[in-house]
Amino acid sequence: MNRIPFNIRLVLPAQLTIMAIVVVPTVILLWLAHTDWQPTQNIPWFDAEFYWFWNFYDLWYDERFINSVFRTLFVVATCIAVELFLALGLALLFLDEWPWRKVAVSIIILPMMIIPVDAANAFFMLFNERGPINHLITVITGEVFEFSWLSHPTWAMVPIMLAEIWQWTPLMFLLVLTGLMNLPENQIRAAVGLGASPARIFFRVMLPLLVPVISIAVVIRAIETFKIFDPVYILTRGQPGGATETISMYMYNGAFVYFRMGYIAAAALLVLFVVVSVCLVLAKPLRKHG
Amino acid sequence: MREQKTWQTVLKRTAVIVAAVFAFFPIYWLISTSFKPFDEWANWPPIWLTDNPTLQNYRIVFFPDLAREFAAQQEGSLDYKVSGSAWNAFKGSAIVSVAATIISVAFGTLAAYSIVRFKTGGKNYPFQFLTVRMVPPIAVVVPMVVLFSILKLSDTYFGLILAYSAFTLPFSIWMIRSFIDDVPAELEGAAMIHGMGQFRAFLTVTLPLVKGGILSTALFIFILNWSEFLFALVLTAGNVVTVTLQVANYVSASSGKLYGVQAAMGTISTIPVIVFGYMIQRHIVRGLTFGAIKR
Amino acid sequence: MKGADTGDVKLELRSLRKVFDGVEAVKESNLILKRGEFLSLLGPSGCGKSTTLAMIAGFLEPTSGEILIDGKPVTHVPVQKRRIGLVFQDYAIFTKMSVRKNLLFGLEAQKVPRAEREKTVDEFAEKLDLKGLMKARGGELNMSEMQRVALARVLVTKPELLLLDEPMSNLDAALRASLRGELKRIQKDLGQTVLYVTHDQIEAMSMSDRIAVMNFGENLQIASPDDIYHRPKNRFVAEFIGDPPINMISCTVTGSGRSQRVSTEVHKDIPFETKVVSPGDHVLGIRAHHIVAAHEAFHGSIAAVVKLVENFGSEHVLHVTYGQDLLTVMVQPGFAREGDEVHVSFDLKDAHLVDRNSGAIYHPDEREAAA
Repeated sequence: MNRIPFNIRLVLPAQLTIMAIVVVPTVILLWLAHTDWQPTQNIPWFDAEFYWFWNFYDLWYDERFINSVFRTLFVVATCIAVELFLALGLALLFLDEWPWRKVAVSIIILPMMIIPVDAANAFFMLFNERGPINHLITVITGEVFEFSWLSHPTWAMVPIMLAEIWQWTPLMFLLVLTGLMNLPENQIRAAVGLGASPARIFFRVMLPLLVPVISIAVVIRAIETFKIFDPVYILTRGQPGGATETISMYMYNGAFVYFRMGYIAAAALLVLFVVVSVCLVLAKPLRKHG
Repeated sequence: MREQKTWQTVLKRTAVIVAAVFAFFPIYWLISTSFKPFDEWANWPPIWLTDNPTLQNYRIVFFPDLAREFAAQQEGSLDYKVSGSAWNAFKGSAIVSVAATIISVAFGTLAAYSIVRFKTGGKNYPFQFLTVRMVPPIAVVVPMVVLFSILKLSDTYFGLILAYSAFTLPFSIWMIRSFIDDVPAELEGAAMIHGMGQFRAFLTVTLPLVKGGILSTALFIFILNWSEFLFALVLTAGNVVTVTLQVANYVSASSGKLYGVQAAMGTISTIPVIVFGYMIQRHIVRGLTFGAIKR
Repeated sequence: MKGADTGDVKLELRSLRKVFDGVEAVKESNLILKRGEFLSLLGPSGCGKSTTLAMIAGFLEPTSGEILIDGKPVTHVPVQKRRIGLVFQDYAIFTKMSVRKNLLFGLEAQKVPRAEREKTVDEFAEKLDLKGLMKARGGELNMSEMQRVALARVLVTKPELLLLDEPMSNLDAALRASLRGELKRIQKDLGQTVLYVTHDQIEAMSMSDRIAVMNFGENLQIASPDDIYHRPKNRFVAEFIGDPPINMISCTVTGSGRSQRVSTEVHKDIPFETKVVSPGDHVLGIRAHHIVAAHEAFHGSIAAVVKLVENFGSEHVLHVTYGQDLLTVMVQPGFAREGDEVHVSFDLKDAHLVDRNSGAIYHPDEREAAA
């Protein structure tokens, strides 16, 4: 032990914990991904039939899997675009000092302080057939509207994405606001002095300066949204018929509802590989800052 | 000119109010449902504010037996099957969250110190921790189930603590790293000139200066642990229960989701998160961006 | 004020006041800036000069008073419409744009036709020696380049009035000296009206047509550099201007009016007529180069010991004891060394009598004018 340099010893506990929980399972994953292990068949995992690359072959033609991938990408893109748009708009309302400003910020960031499962539950109730959203639509249109959002194959994505957007726009807002408050004030003043309109100042001066902050915010939110699970589980569990499955939900259903562990392990390995490679590229803005 | 300005201000404040209403409405619905008697949960038209507030939902959460007695006296009262009281879930969440937070922050502080002061592993080393956070947990969960069954960690506090510690370590390391980075190394150098060892210099000089930051990190990690759902769902089987599992468990065979009870449990269980969240509001941006954006 | 020819007046401040949280940052400021004039607002940090500038630019709303440009009140006109050019202390170059884009920004914002704005930008790029930099990004420039870009960026918009906020405080000394000359040359070339805010007396003295000295939010004196130096109106102005700082010697005033006399260590009962100073202990201000020093005693001189020699290169400044005070005396290099005894005196004609209570200084010619 004493031969290990002091600084290495300091990182050892953290490194070993992560190894135990991430690296070792990944090694097991490598094996499982090439087997047809299904715990319901009562064969221990290490005795499972070796399957070569057939799992990957099957995944390629598994529409449900492919759809869940594209659905997840769609959710990521949509949610982040909406969150960013709302966050920018909101942050611009908070540039000047006014009484109650702090209170208003505190209320607006409340959603991100809620346990995601509870937030999802709230949205479950809101979008219930007999929930307040349908009631509002009924009141506004004057016709009884008892649409079953959560069991509709297409529209069920709306509450899921709204829950995600509702919960995480505040974070995006805080990030953008921090960025805006740290902008070099004189550049904006100079633009004002040169006679530029507020829109010109925003698009030509402020936005380019915000790019680093926005890219960090987008990368971080993209990573988190890509993992989206809690709202899907609470709101639809991927139903009806897998129509609302995101990657995480698909894998959960495959592994813990249909118990196709080997097959899902292959999907997991694939996702792991893609995510890590993509993240290494995406982490650039973080790297620049750090 | 003046008039246009006031006009704009009115418009801006109105937009803020609208945003605040949107932000608060789902929470309002959660809280208001938690006080509704069961026959009002899915009424049509929905009841926006109940005329018959009841504590029955909270009674079910905390005192299921008392609630059963109460229900027996009431006509047409709720049939619910959840036997366990929420105390068990609070106990479980508290044990797992606190222990995992301590481990994560302690290990994270050591690693962060090593990374900042010794540049351990070079420039790219800290990034491998980040990849842990980037991977969807579900991708690791399948082999973890296998690993835990080998190690007999399934459905134990220790197993969950281990999982939570590992998956919050990237946040600990990066956040604390950014706090230590703010303290000039010269301060430790000054203490070392007086004959103090390097690690003691860190403990006596730097640590007191960053203890606020470390505390914020701890609260932040605690929030993450307390709110976690997926690991708890997959790695437990009834022996260990957390608050998020308890919320999801309030489903009855005959009436589906028990909205009111879920809402009551949800309201209660989210309170610590809100309290701690506002306590570290100043640092939340730093935390969620791994220290990249500071306030 | 009323008699002023408005055609010639570019900017006028009338009783301009700004109060922050009960603190008066700018007190009843009155100022007239003529077309083509270079006027400096000079004072220590926190004296209210930057606040005044922010109000003229339109970033701050005055508590009371009025700002007129070309005789028209602009107090409530938004910044964009004031046609004022601004150069900031940090230059505020748009870091994410090329220099060319920086220069074009104002003209584009003001919807100047393309051909014209290209022509104007090229013309000013030539004038300010920016030709080779046009493609560089704002974030890549060094300080002196930034200053020229910042100047060019406002000058292309042909502002009615150019406001410069400590534009040289981020530069090193050598660069400052060369840029002072350059700035003055450009200003003269263009006939540009300039209001220049600085805490540096050399910048103010060397470039300005007139200087307004401010302290504690108050406009203490507005006059030409010569008058500010030779005829300061009060103790603060006298002490703020000049290097080494003016000597302040305690003196005693007896009598009043025509029979008023002043005594110091070297002078006994010399007639020194002012109408205002009451008898008693006051202060005489006299600049180092007005004090005469010799190795031998001479008429009216007193002996003094050299405590310190400051080497200014072309001159040496001696710090000598003078009664209870320490005096600075400007001498030829090599005149004396530390510890030497010298003999010093001065002509009362060169001294300013400062009222100890009010700090006011009155000059003989003013007295005559008043009479």
